[in-house]
Amino acid sequence: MWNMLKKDFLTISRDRSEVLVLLVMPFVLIAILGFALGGINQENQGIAEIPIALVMSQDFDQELQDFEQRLEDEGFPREMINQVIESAEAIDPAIMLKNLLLAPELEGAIATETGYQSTEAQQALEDDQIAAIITIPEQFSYQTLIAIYLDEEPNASIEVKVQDYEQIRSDVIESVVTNFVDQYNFETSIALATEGEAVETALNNEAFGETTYLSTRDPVSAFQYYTIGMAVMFALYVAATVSSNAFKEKETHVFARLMVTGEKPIRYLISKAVAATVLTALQLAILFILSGLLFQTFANQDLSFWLGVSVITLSFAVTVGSVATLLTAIALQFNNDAISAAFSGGIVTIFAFLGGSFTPVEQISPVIRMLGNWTPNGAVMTAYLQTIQGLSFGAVMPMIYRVLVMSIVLISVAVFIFPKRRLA
Amino acid sequence: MLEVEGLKKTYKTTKAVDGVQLYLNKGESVGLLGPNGAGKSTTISMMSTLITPTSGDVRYNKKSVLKHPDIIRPVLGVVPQEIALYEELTAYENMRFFGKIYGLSGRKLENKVDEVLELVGLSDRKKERIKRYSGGMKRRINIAVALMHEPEVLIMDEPTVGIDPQSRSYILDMVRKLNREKGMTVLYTSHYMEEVERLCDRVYIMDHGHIIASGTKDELKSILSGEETVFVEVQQMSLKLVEQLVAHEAIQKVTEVEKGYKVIATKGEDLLADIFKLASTIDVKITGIHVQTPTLEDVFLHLTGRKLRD
Ligand SMILES: Nc1ncnc2c1ncn2[C@@H]1O[C@H](COP(=O)(O)OP(=O)(O)O)[C@@H](O)[C@H]1O
Ligand SMILES: [Mg+2]
Repeated sequence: MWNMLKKDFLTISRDRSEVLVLLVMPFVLIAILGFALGGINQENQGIAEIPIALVMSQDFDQELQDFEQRLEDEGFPREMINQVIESAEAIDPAIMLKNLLLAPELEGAIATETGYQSTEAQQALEDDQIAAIITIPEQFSYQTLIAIYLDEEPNASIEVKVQDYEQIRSDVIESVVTNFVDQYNFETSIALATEGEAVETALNNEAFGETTYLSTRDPVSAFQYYTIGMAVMFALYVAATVSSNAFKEKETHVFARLMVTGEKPIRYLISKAVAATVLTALQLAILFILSGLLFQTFANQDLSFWLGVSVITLSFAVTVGSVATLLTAIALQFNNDAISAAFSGGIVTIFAFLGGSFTPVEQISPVIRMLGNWTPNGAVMTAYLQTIQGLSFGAVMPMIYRVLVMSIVLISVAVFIFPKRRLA
Repeated sequence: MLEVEGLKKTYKTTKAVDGVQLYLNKGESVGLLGPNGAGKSTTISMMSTLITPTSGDVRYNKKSVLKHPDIIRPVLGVVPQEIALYEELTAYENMRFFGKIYGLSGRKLENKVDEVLELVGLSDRKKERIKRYSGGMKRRINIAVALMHEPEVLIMDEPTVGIDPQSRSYILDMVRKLNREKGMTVLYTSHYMEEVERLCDRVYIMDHGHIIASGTKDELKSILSGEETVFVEVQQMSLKLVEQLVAHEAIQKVTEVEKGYKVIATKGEDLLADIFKLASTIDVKITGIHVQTPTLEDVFLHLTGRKLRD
């Protein structure tokens, strides 16, 4: 098997145009996109700092006690209550929102003042000292917690009051809060799901479980975004490269020669799957490492981050391997390499767009994002970005399962198509 | 040792191979001669288990190869008609790759690569990529790869197509050496009758999917024993002469060649004298005349009325 792989690596690596497509092009694109779009994403140039007031009318400690009391009244066992209370502190939306608004990433864009009482804030808004008031009402934490844990309708919501004279500013504030709510729902659902029970709930009737890249905690930089985007896109080309290479073997009759030696067709097919998998893993590793070294794309990441990235990379590599297997089976069975050309000429581009390689598509339409998450590259892109945002490994597992299931399906179809017996 | 029985292959409308019958004895060198499209490659593909026959079978030591393809594969070295090599790899890498596929490794593999490179005379160019090789060199490596596992039977499908005379001569000598010195059984396919004549003990002549004649070279030529070929060189070509010649009762066939005519006729004592007489009656000057011993080409022409390289 190693013999077959080595031969594939040598033939592909000696083809200059393949190396160009698989390594040089994505790298150049990462550099261009990273530099070009880095400024816009991060520096909010052109918008003056927006002063806002965050009014927190609730008393978290008191509400937490009320919540604890409520759980006791409902007859939950003691250990469970303790556990819930512990995690409740971590997911309290009021504190998370406050942290978000005070986060250094928003510095220069939004200046948050937390010292106001409700009436003072109202006055300041009228006096034009501030552009908006975000009010977290009394009982908000309590209501949210029982909504999450006891599955009741939430009846407290964050209130955003903006001066209406300046549209841009109010848009910015609203989008920050909306994003927060989306993200909050998402993360909360994951936090709960990973504890064994998926609780369906909604905060302010927002859609449940929607993914957004504008994480509140670790924003994704342009370099990170495009390193991932380009890497997963160009990894797809590996599949076409391997299947074209296989077709060339058939065309130049080396495939026939291999069959005459008694080499089994299925072993040949497996060697293609493995070759594409290893090539993809290598390609991604090279791109990530280069991007990391030259652009500090992944500075200050810990071991668990790299572990997560490795698992996602390997899963994706296996998926590309299975795509290569299917393309190879089709090309050899129908004695025509049009499939590889169609794949690299059209399908890759469509997949790359849907998957968000060119632009964060969820900003265009959540439907595209959803479709994109059903492409192998889109699914792993989501997984990579979530990992960069600091989500736990458990949170990205669904996407990994998804691409692994795709792999199994692709390989099964390939084996079904591929001729079992002799071939001319 | 190796027998082909009633082998047929039909592609949609064409009968590529239509009931071929042939055998190879151990240590023999056998030629399969036929024009393009005769069905030689298809026959070889079936013998080497690459394609399944429509009907018929191939037997190796009495065992059906169709049922047990694995018994023949290690025994056969097949040199395909096309250059079936990795162009991006060097000769050395190609040979190692196929050697390993055949289960060689380590010292044994290295030794074999060296030995075969020596045999095909390319030891000093082994580190060059195949795509930089000349046609003749590619052909030699194409053969070398088939020799890596020391096959008992070497099947070569037109191994000298489109190469320079030196390489061709080198390859022919090499095949003769393998056959004579190493006792390798050889099936040599070609549409060049000179090659087959030089190399092979026995010959099968194939056309339109059929074996139309077979036997030793002498046996085949004796098909023509009742005939002789006479070249008549004339100063000026003359249709009238052709008419006269064809009218002669001993003469069967007259074909135009450079500066004259090739005449095939039943052997007879007065033929040459008759030709001179005919020519002088119509004032055509004969500048030369010679009688040729028949070649396999003539046999083919006799059997099919066509030339091998039409
Ligand atoms: N795969 C195929 N499909 C259809 N026809 C074929 C195929 N292979 C060979 N033939 C036909 O079978 C005949 C014999 O071909 P081949 O065995 O290659 O002849 P040769 O090797 O003697 O030149 C030719 O007419 C060729 O066109
Ligand atoms: Mg042929």
